[in-house]
Amino acid sequence: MSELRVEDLSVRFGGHLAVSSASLLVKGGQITGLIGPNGAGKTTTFNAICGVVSPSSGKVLLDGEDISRLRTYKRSRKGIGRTFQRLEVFSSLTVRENIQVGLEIRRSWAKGSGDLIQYLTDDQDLSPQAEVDLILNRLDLMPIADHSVSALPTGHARLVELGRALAARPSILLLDEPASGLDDSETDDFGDLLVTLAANGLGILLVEHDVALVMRVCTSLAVLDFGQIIANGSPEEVRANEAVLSAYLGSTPTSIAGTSAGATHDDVVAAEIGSSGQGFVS
Amino acid sequence: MSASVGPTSTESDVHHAASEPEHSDEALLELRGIKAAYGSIEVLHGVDLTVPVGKVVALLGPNGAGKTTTLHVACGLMQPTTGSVLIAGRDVTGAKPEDLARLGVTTIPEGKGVFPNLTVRENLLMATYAGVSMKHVEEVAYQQFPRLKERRGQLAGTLSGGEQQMLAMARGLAVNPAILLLDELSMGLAPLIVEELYGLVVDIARSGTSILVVEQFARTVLGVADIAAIMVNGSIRRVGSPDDVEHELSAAYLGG
Amino acid sequence: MDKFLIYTIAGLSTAAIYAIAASGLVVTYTTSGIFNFAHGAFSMMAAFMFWQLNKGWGLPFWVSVFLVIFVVAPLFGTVVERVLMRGIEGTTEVVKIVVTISLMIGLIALAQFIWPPSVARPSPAFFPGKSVHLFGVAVSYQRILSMIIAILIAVGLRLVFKVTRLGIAMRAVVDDRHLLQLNGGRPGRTSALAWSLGAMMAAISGVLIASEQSLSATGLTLIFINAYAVAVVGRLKSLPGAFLGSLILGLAEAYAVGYIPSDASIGAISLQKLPQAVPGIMLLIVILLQPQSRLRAHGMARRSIPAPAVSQRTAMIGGICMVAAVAAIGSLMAPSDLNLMTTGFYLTIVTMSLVPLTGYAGQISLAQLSFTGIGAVTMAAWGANGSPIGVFISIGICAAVGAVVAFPALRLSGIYLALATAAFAMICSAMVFNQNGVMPGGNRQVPRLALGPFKVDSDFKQFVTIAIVFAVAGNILIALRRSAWGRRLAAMRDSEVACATLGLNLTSTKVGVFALSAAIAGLAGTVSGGTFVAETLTLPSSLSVTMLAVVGGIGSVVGAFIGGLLLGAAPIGASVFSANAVGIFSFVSLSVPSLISFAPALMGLSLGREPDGAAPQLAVGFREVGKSPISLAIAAIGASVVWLAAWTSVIENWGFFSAGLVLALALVPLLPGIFSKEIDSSRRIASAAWLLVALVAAAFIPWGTAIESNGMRFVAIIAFVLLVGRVAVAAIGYDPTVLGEKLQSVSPDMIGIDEPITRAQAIDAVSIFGVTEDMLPPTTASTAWGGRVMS
Repeated sequence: MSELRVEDLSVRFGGHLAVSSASLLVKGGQITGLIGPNGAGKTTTFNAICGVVSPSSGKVLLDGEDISRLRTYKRSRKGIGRTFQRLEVFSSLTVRENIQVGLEIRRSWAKGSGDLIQYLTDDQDLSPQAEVDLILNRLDLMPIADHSVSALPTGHARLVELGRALAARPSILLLDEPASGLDDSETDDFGDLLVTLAANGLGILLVEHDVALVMRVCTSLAVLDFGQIIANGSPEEVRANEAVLSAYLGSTPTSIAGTSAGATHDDVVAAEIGSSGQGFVS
Repeated sequence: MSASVGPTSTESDVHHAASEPEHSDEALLELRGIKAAYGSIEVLHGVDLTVPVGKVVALLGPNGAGKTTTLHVACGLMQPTTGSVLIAGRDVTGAKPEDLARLGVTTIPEGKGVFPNLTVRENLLMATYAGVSMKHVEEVAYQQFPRLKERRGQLAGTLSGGEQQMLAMARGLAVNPAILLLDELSMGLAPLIVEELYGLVVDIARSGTSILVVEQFARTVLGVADIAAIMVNGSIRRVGSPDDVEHELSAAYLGG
Repeated sequence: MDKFLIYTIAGLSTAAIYAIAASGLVVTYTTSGIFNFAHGAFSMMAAFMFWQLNKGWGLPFWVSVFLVIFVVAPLFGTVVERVLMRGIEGTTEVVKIVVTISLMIGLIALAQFIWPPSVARPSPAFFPGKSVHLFGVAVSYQRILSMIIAILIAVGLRLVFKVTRLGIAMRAVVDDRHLLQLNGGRPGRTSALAWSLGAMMAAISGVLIASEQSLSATGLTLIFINAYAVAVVGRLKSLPGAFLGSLILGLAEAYAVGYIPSDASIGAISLQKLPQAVPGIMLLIVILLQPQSRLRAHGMARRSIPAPAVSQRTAMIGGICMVAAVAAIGSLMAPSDLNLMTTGFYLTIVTMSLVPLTGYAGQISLAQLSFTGIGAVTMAAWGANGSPIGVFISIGICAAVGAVVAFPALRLSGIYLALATAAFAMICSAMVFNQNGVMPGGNRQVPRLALGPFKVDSDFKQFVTIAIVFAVAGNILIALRRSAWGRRLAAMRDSEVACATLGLNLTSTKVGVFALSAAIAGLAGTVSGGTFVAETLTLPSSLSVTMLAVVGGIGSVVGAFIGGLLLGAAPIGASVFSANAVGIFSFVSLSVPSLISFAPALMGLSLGREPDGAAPQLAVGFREVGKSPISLAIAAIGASVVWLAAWTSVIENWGFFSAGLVLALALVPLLPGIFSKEIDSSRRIASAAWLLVALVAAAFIPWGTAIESNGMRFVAIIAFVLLVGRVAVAAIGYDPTVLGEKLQSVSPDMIGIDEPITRAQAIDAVSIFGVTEDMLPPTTASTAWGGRVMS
């Protein structure tokens, strides 16, 4: 199974250090969560992993191979797929065509593609048509397959991006807030889908504001704040980490207000972690 | 209040209103029955909101409720389809944002209150359009945020998020506004910095400036607000003291 | 040594003028994000204005200088900003480029109209006859003045942009227009001032060069286009970069003139014209040296919902109809008219070459006619008998050249590709077409096709051949659009970064589509069967091609056809109407040819309002027709009957023309309505009866004898057709061309509400704020699903 290792990654924009010596490990078959306040550097980390921005120092290793110097499309061909926080769907195409393009681009460079992982079926000899249908069905996009994506609600457009990324059959998938815009039951289904994909060998790095979802599906969590990884571990460990509590989850500015929420810090935090939607930093 | 004089004297009128205690029950900013639409889709369905002189009003509500749109109507970036905007009792509906800015309405927009390709100093120079001298702006900005002085020749886009927000706030401080409109001050910032910035908001309010703060995450702002308004789906659902609202919020969080 | 000094000083003074012009370009680009292709035309207009004031109206020299630079130019800049540029903010790069190109072409046409090129206009010099000796070389005062002004402008602009509040505000407008407003700045006024400043720079350079060059609208504009190469040295944004570029270009040009012997040559290519190619070569080299631009995630672009791809069946029927219509029209035309039509008809294939490149892939080229010219000369060289092998060789060469030209620029964004292709057009013009070895005497005859026993040996056959080539190539393009490759191009236009993360090599994909586009443009040259003149293969001609292709509607083959017809129609119209003039109460009399020369530019300028071009709008009216077999059948029968009547001389040719227009523009779009059961039958009958009467009337009115001149006849027929159409629409009670607007649904994503309130958020709101269900938004994500998307 694949393994993505980010070592001491730093990204500098002018004088601003957006990511500072961040290290991460994403293993095939597991879902790793990357959380942190807006502006903490999550999307920049994604961009550095897939080559959209160049890091000022540090390495990105895929299965031990240093891919930090490769252009974006070459990294993708090695097996890194992603979705985008701000939608990057192909808005002049239909839902089906969006996924088809992902598949067709993959077929243009990976003849046969026997060594790539199949997540949704064991059938190795799927026709392109059947593969697109399979993805559409699995993401519940079949009823709107022939609609233009330009008119879709955000949540469904995000699913289209996921389907498109899956069609390229990555071994490591980076998901940038994939569940925002989905309703509760859709989010539940979405979580199940992620778990299934991981169970079939896909390595997922998940950035998500829906903490309930993150806590449910992730095997491990990394917390990013001001471009630095301030905590790392299982969801339970992170939940109990004091640094995370004060830095990420924030608190009422009690020193100014002189009043408190009528609850201890931990209570508030626990409640927030337990609640879905209405994220604290969304 | 005179309605026909040039910018300089109207500005002083507004400041006058802000500093006179006998007007303290008067509304500095008032939105009456505001409806606003993007194209054919109405997003504000009759908003009434009052910001009394020298008070901090927090406008809270979930993502997409219309808080930012309300703010845009107040600062003139968006024109309401019906309803009126009053500043210090004067109807300014339809005024351009730059005219309102020169009248003493200072707005710090969400997440991007600075010009990224201008230096810190050049950013501050832009604040002088509101009718204050560059000397004053620099004095206030550097005194409040010494870090900005160190970086005055640096492009604002290369500052950290916190420093950018400080630069944006420096403008709010320096132009001595009659009313300050703040949109999502906390966005993307560490709680410590947010705390510091809201500390400043309190200071500004003490100096007599009225403030309207839009926040999605209510908790960060309740402590500094005098009045809290809750907005849902394009309408104000509730206006009350922060204590009432906070109590409800806490109950909702802890009970849910 | 003297020679070196002479050319160095000549080079420096040219450099000074380039520097002034380029600084204006940089000012407008940094303050508006719009690369002003018309900047050279601004300079040209200023030069003519200066002549007009001083020589034409006899104002004193310095008064004229003052008026041009400090009154006329700033006013002009302000008007351009207010009327045109403000409207195209936030549109695509292609629209921005085409609108400024249209402005340039329009200004050239305007200058040629006001100051006809037939009259020589010697322009007054600064300090005539005065010069100073530097190192033994006489240097005129005027050259020294140019250099001093350049230095003053360099210092002055730096001060303006770094120190003054206004200058800093000009930079701030680009960063964030709204934030400047919230600061109390006035972005409208600031932008207008920036354009005024840019126009002033253009005017200074124009006035300075006026006395050194003979005044020619196209010639002067082209000189200042060289300043574009200079601006690229500073990535279009840096003034010091632009000044450095000016030095390099000014000196390189001067030394090329001075040190390359006029009889030097490389193979068949004489180096005599090399100085003319120097700016183009420099532009290409500079672009090659630029670092690769980064991929950017922009978020989903807000674009209108695209028209669905045409089905192959429709495309084939369309192709057959088009060939049939061309054959029908051609069979009725007088030999001289047919000859005229044939000379312009190949341009439809040239505009079509932009469909895959611009329409599908969102890239731009300003050198399509250069490829056409290369196709033509290679066909003339290797396909002398009209053999199809020559065609294949030619388009192969064009594809290869296209790939080489595109490769350096495709690593960069839109404006650089536009400039690289413009550079290529300049180089081709000087080093290929204006070479006696390639085009002896400035022209070259392209052999007509011969496929074994079948020879294209008449104008009629040539006319139909081009139609067939267009129809076949158009069908291939539509098949491509529907293929995996076509989807990939559309995907790349929508989001390059997403394509890269799927493993798509953007550069090779773009090079591929550029090569295809060049090959089609070359194909147009090989099958044109006409005489090419070097003077028509210049950069400005290619600019017109791109402009009109976009005006027609570059997203579709039909749009390209419309664009090509417009392009071909301008010269044809000018010769048809050559004797006509339009008078306005006899105060003003405009010749119709000069009106026609403005028309394309005006259409280009209108793109700011209608970025998709004309074809999608027309398509709305005809869309329903394609779905109704009975309408299609009646349209075909009607067309055949009208043609037969003309063929058998029952009606005259003008009757055929007017009846054909009534049929195509008034009757056919209404046919689905006439057969629709949903419309009141009395209305349908009334409309149908009216159209029938009008059709017969159009066919039998003796247009040819009743109206004397061709021009008035055209005007009368078009007025008649419009009247018929209006009455028919009124009778039936609906307008097929406005129906389409109702079909467009609006998504919140497209109007700025990026995140609709979700059910989850709404439910949260319930629990947090204690609101009740009925306060919830009516359209949550799940109802939007059912309501908006499924409908």
